[in-house]
Amino acid sequence: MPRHIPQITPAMTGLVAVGGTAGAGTRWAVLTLGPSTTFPWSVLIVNLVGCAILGVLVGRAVHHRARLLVGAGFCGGLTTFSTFTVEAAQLMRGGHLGMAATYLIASVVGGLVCFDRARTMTMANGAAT
Amino acid sequence: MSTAVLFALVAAAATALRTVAVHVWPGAERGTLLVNVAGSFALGLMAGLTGPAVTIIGTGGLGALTTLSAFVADTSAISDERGVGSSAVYVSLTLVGGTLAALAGIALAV
Repeated sequence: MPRHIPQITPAMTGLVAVGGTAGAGTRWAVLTLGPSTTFPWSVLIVNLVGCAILGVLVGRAVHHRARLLVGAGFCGGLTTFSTFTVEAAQLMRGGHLGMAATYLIASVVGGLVCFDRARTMTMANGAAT
Repeated sequence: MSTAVLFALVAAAATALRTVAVHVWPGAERGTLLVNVAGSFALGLMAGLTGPAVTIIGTGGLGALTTLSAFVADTSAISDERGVGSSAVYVSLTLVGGTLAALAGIALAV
């Protein structure tokens, strides 16, 4: 997988910022509208969806600008690591150790599976057409 | 300004800051690790607070500053390029560092 990191320009930063705002706004809407449960389902779902979308982008090898707007921007803004760790820490402090462990594993292993599945399925589809 | 406008501005700035962090360090994953651990600590400090400031700074700013998707993509790339061992080190550093940072932030907040 190519991971060339080019020089950053103001235009690139602008693309990323626009995508990030859209992603964070979507996350805010999901967190607000989603059910208020002990297990942080809403955060888990936005994180897994963001990983899958990023997998599609990497699999399709989309244009650099699309990757900035949708990958670093939208997916980066949609997914969150800080809410994830604070929710996990709060579960641990609340004595829900099993739930905390399940949440950590579901987020990381689930995120990797969603990313990788999306990437390989998109690559396979691209090769077939 | 309304919460939504401030949310959008703060999220845009935080996303831009994350992108700069990723581009400044040699190797994208170091920047991702830094923002994720620092963001976890900062959000931990806000534990127990409610109101528009938490939505704007916590959900908008720190939520957008930190990222699970880039962490997962980094892990996958490190695994392909340097082997599963290196990716396991990265996952451990991020998860242990992030969770400890969040716990430390929450402890200081109370």
